[in-house]
Amino acid sequence: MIEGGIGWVAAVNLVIWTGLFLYLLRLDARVRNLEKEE
Amino acid sequence: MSVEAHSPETAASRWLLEALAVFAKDWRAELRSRHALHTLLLFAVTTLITVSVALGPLGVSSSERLAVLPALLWVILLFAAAAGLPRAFVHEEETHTATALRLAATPSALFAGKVVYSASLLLAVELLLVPLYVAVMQLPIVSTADLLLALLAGGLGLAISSTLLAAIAAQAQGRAALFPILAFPVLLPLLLLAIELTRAAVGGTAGEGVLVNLVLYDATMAVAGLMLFPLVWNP
Amino acid sequence: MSQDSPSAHGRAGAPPAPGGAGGWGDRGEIKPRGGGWAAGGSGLGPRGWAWRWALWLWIALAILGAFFYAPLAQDFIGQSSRILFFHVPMAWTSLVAFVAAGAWSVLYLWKRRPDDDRAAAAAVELGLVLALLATTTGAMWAKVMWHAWWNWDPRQTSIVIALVFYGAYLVLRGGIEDPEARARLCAVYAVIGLVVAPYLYFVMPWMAKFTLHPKPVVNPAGKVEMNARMLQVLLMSSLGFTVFFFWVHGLRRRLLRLADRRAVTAAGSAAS
Repeated sequence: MIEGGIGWVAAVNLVIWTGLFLYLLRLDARVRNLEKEE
Repeated sequence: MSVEAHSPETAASRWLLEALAVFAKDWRAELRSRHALHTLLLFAVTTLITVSVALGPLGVSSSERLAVLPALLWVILLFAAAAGLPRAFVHEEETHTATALRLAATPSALFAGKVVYSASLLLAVELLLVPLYVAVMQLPIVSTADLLLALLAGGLGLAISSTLLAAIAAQAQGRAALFPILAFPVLLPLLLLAIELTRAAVGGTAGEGVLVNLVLYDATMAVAGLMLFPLVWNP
Repeated sequence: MSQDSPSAHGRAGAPPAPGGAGGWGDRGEIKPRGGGWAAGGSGLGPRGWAWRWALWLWIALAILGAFFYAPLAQDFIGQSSRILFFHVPMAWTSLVAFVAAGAWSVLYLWKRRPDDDRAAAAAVELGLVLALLATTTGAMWAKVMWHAWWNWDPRQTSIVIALVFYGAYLVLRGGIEDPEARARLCAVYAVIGLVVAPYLYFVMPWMAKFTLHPKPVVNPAGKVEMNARMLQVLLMSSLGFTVFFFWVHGLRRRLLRLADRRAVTAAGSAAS
């Protein structure tokens, strides 16, 4: 499935950073909405 | 709990008397019902029977004995401890004696008393279980001293960590289920060290540092327990 | 792992004074924010947009560096050593998170400020996510190098125990309703974690007698045995992950604070 190629390294890296970035955006929006409600 | 503040003793001896009073109280209650002792012992023997039957009439082949048997012994002891020791505080909360105990004893003395009680309980179980285990599993003992040291230091460490974690678990919901979850990662280094030392006792080799590290674990957990237990016990 | 749902704490037994200084529903510390993370505001303050873009640029450079600037490590199969620039920083940042959680727990037990408890909880949550990612990338790399996803290498053992320990921490958090008792008991548990950690990091690898795992960058001998370019990218990536962690941590902490305030307000309006 995975071997010495660069493909899986790049894919894993892409998945991780995309996930972290989307999580950050969602969290930031959520906190700002909640604070606006206060 | 007849120890009062206006006795002429110094603070240290008063602390010691309080710890002894807790220890004596727990054993008095235990000898009346023998509930914890029976739980621990039956749990240990049941696990031993399960393991022994599952391994078959020939047991573990002699080449794998060293790798397997010491680990199984400590897994059995861990199970027994997890079944019996959390009662030390769950019982106090359930019978609502915890409040009285809060008023009567210094927290660190209470912790020390409970640790000595749990350790003696566990050592009593070891005393009955280990000869049985050695006989049933055909474990060749090379160094009795190492075995005794492993059982003593390992049992003490189990008692110290379990007492502290049982006090935490007793105040949460799902106490009985929570204790093993909390205890496992804390007890794992102790168990691995005890297994290593037991392995040396039955003919394997262990580094010089294993016993030192085992004692060091007991000592650090004892100090941490004496410092942290008052925070757990008093709101 | 999500602790953000405002659960029903604020039990009637010991009601924390709503709005009181340092109380569980403290109103004092939340400042409304101007602008989003990419717009508005003066831009240069601690919550401005400037350093956020700087961080993204920094991380982008680290990623590019990992693939185009750093050479391949010796004795590694193919391109697999490039995972190092993500695996090591995530493991490092999870360690930072757990140590920070322990420090905040000590601070809580000392000063009894609810915000320190929330900070510890947020750090544990994020540390768990990062440790999980480090474990996964490590297992993939192990599959390439050792042809097995898992082989109980001492470092794998250590990180699994850390995962179990901080998972238990979150279970404990979920099991106590009273916010004061929850904070106190969880803080004690986190401090126990700090006490046991040396056994996991030093004693167990020592007991294992051998390891296939590459030497840590900061090894006991204190020598850095690494190609200069690789080291630059690794440090860059580590710094990026660490700053990213503290950014998300700040957000999680504010979210927990909001959840606590809502619970206290809800309990207050239910009582009146």
